Amino acid sequence: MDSGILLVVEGLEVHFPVRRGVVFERHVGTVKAVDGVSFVLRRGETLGLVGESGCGKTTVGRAILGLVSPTAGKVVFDGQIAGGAKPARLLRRRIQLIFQDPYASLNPRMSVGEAIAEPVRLHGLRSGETAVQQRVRELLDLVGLSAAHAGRFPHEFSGGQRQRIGIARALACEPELLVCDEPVSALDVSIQAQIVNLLQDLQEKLGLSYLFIAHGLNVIKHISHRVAVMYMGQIIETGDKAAIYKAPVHPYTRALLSAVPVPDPAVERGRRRIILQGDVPSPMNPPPGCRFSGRCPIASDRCDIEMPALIQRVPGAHDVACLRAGESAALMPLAALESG
Amino acid sequence: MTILDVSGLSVRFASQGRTVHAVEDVSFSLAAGETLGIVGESGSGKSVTALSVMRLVPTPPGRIVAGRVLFQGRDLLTLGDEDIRRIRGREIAMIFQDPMTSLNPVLTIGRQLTEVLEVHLGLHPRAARNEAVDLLKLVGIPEAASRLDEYPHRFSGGMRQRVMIAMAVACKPRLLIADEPTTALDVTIQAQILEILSNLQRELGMAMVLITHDLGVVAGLADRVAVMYGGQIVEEGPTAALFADPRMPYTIGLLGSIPRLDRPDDRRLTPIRGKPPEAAGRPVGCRFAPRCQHVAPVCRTEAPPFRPIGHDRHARCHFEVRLTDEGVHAQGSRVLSPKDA
Ligand SMILES: Nc1ncnc2c1ncn2[C@@H]1O[C@H](COP(=O)(O)OP(=O)(O)O)[C@@H](O)[C@H]1O
Ligand SMILES: Nc1ncnc2c1ncn2[C@@H]1O[C@H](COP(=O)(O)OP(=O)(O)O)[C@@H](O)[C@H]1O
Ligand code: SF4
Ligand SMILES: [Mg+2]
Ligand SMILES: [Mg+2]
Repeated sequence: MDSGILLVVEGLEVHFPVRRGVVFERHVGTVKAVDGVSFVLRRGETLGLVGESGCGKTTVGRAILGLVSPTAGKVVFDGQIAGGAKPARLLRRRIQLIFQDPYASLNPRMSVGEAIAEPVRLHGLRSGETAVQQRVRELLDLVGLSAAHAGRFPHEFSGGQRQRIGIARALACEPELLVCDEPVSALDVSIQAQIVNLLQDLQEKLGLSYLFIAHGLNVIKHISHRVAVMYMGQIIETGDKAAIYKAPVHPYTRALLSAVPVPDPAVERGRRRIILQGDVPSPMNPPPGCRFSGRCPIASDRCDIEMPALIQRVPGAHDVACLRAGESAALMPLAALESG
Repeated sequence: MTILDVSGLSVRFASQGRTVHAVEDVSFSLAAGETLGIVGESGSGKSVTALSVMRLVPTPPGRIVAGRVLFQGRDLLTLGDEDIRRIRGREIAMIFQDPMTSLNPVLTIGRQLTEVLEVHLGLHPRAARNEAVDLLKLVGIPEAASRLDEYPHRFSGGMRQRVMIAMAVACKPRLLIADEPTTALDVTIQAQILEILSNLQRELGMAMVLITHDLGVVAGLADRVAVMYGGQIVEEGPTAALFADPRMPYTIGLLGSIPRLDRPDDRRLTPIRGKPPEAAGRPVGCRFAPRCQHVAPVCRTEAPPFRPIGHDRHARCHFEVRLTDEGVHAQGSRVLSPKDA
């Protein structure tokens, strides 16, 4: 195995039973939130996980953290199986989660300094109170806050500052992998950019790996080395960033890219948009064939019955799950976007 | 022909014993059939501006303390309640980010649509129902006739927004105010809704105020753009000119903060430092001064005027800040001293 590989997710399935009724609960269906997801993440690398709401991004993250048990498949972190009871506890420190809303994860009555000191003590990462406090100051500095902030409480901070606090608290555990679940989605544009830059700096300084979850293709493009596009619980296209953004193949990826507005009037007005019909579907009792067939502009009869597998197009650099992968570029033309 | 002309609009809120200057000296105008994009971060005063035009600012705690809102020549702020009610919904319509706030959960979609048509246009119930089906078709709702008898909770977020649009355009308004109509939606659904809005606008010849925090949406749809910060419009002008040559440090900062699909991504983002302004109180000087890269002593003591900058454009800055040909990632440079400005 490639020694640079930190995380392997293989055939991950997380299915939730749906029950109705109060007295006699009946099993009425299954939400296939994650349905056969596989990927690897290397040390120091960012994998962007992108897709519309409900496609299963958060559930993938939660499964990696051991917060939800997979129905099938496995998560291997640094050569060890995560997800079983005992090893998971040991691995827990090395994988940390950054939330969309850090406020929800912070205890409102605990000062910021305490919130950051807690995991340092819990995991015995510094001995003696002086060293712990010294570490808290280091961490605050690392995320762009000052030591003077340690005595304040979460409600005294703005959204962007709270996200910094959330990051400091995660870093206090000295993790190797951060699962960042929509960390900038709730922030204003100018603050998003601050946090994106911070995460990039931290990765460089500390050699962290990121699983970066977002629904914004532009943020994903900026921060990721590799990208995986999800649709209804499955990865439908994955590869190096250049492959996904310069030569997207899956009809869903192509439509998604064409739908992202670009802040340049000349470019924006000259673009060709692929407008998908219908709603973002629910992963409850999904169709038997390609999950995207109901909305796909180029679906054939075969797509309704046969589920496409993720097939390698460029070895190690680009995989696509589409029965018409060879035809999508011609049938769904997109203007090249990237200029100078 | 100018259809909407807002000038010197100021709105305050009494909040926890303090005064919030939510909107301060806002002026803009809009020609018939034209689209004005209003962009700005949360709390910058976009919604309050829109509500003021509809005279829907909750009073108290809010109060329009100054300004004029001329709609087809009449000042909406001095109109009687009866008159404003006639204009609202019929000549000016509004849609919101969350359609559920304006849909009644206990009435069917059909009932709500036909009511609009019966009350505003005096249609007979049978005619109203036929018209309602046509409206749902117009906004791309499949099986429109049968969906008419369903309740709002049976519709997805995107479908509800279509229903809202159908209700808004039912009376063929002259002006549509859309307040973050796609912010809560997934990007593929956003694309559907924006396409519907721009098609309807063309067909009906309506003017539109499109409020969003997404500069990309504005770039695609707006003829003119107004950028808001801390309750004020800080830059305003034709879309192409404003994007090509932004002149206010906040606009420049905003453009530098956005990761782009159309640019190589090896460049770092250039965020605006600091954090958004506090809601309460009115700072002395430029509201953007605490975060501005070009701040000078005068910025902290004197409020910059909203002054003309070239043809048909305005900016609220003491200085003439321009980009170099490095693009939006470059820094602006001061070319005039405040005395020259
Ligand atoms: N605990 C749960 N029980 C039942 N369904 C769930 C649970 N958690 C998530 N889901 C469902 O799984 C799907 C994927 O959810 P999620 O992973 O949160 O998607 P995303 O993060 O991409 O928006 C959704 O349909 C969601 O409703
Ligand atoms: N009902 C209200 N009571 C008190 N303050 C309000 C109320 N509505 C808006 N504000 C204040 O007015 C300012 C502008 O708000 P708003 O127009 O909603 O911003 P935006 O739409 O740009 O996010 C904010 O500081 C907000 O807190
Ligand atoms: S007036 Fe001063 S602080 Fe305000 S934007 Fe211009 S240079 Fe910056
Ligand atoms: Mg999620
Ligand atoms: Mg608003």
